[in-house]
Amino acid sequence: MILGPKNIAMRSSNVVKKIRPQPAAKQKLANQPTEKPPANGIAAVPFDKSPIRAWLRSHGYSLFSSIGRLWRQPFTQILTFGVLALALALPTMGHLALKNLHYLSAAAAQPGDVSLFLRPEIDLAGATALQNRIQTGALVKQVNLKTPDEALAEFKQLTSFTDALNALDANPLPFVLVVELSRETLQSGRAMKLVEDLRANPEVEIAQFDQEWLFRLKAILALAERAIWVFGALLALTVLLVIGNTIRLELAARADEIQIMKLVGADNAFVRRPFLYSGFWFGAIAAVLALALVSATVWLLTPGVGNLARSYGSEFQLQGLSLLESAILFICGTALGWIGALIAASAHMSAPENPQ
Amino acid sequence: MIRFDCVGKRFFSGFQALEDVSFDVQPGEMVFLTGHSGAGKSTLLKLIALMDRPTRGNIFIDSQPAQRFSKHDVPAYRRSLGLVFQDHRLLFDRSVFDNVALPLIVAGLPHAHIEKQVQATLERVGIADKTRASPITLSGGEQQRVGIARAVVSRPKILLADEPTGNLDPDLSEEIMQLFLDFNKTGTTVLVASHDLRLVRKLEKRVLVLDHGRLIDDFRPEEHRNAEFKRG
Repeated sequence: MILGPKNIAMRSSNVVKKIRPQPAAKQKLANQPTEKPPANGIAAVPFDKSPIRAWLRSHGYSLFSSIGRLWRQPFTQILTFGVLALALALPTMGHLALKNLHYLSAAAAQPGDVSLFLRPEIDLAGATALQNRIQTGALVKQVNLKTPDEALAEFKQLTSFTDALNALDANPLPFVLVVELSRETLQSGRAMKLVEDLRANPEVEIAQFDQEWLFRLKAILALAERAIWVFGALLALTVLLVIGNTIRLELAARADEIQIMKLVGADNAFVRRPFLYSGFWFGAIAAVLALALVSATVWLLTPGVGNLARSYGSEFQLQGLSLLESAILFICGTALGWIGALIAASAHMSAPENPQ
Repeated sequence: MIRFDCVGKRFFSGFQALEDVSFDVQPGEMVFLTGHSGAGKSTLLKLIALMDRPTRGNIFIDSQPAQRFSKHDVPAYRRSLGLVFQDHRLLFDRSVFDNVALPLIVAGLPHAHIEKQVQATLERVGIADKTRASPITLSGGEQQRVGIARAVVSRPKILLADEPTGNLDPDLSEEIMQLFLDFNKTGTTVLVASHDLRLVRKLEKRVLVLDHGRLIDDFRPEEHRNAEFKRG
């Protein structure tokens, strides 16, 4: 089918003249040996019929080509790895510090007593009634009643105010109820609520809880834990951005290669895959480095903490990362790497294909 | 195999690269595409490779309208296509073998098959001794052979070449063109863009002539000879 507009053919007939053999040249060309024996054909290799096997192979290719690339230029990436490892290690260390404080505070939680100093006008009958009432509560282990006489005797024994006390004509001490809380109550968060309830009794003048500081500490720890989460989330975002940016630079540096891949029929998934694996390796290696950093820190601090604990007569030992925690750190690192790379690569792929 | 129906391509800059181009290439045909530089040869090949889309008209590949190709169809179509560029477009950080193997890796072939097929292809284009070399150490002619090997290694149905001899001396050019003729003989549809009129004329194949984006001639040597014969 010839569709060249003839009027234009007339105008630029010099090009056409060069193509169309002139009568003189024609004879020579026609005599040329035109047919050569066909070259040896390449045996046609059938393309793989199993898409799953082809898919697996392409994954294997991406896995090894990406690690090969990292292996060939490990020092150019050392800064990136440093930043990533620190970003992963810092919240991990924060978590570890909290874990140790929790552990310490749990160890320090002895069966705690609440001393209820009753109003002076309460007599033995009133005190016993209150004792029985409190005793029925589920959170309470035991309630002891101390009469003013017992308290005075104890006071005399413990202090050197004997003469001064003897000078008093009446016993100034009130009835005291010593409420012993169960260990479960202390460890659960209900102790402070219970103390408040006890304090609310009209007979009670003062309620004194000797472990109140511990509960304040726990409240502070809970706050710190929340702060660590926020801090960790921000640093996770940092990891995401750093890996995303690294992969973006890599994509830009290999734009020619990507274009060639696409021209020989690679689909987006195939082109993207080595970069996803790069992100995976970045995250994985950074997580391992972070683990090493945290372990080294724990190792450095353990003797000092041990000495300090022993000086308080405690057997406390610094707790390192458990196997589960290490696994979580590793999984978070690799997942962040993968996601960062996915974001960068998808942004690159969705940009219009622009071959020169 | 390939049909252009009133195809036009205007770039964003307003430059009209192709205008009202229509032609038809049969399976197994060998066609040269010629014209001055800027006549639209490269644009036309890019449209066939779906590296770009026409702004007017329709392109049919195997009677399928190319505009309808989905995101998934394009990579699959390109795997049935061999592309050769004037600047070779080789990956210089990889060996000759890895460059040629690329289309097969993309297709997910097993390693043993890739090895065999790449070796056979390198032998066929005459650089079997350069398998492990880096492309950067090769001469221009050898680099172009690597480019051709990469284009034909997956035995494509269509082979497109954009100025494959643009940087080569006449003797080398002829050898390279001979390679394309050989591939055509084994049934591949071949389209070669070249401004080397002397060589194109000598090879006596169908020639499409572009001028300022318009198709001004579609010359078939056999018909020409027959016409001369009848007249003579």
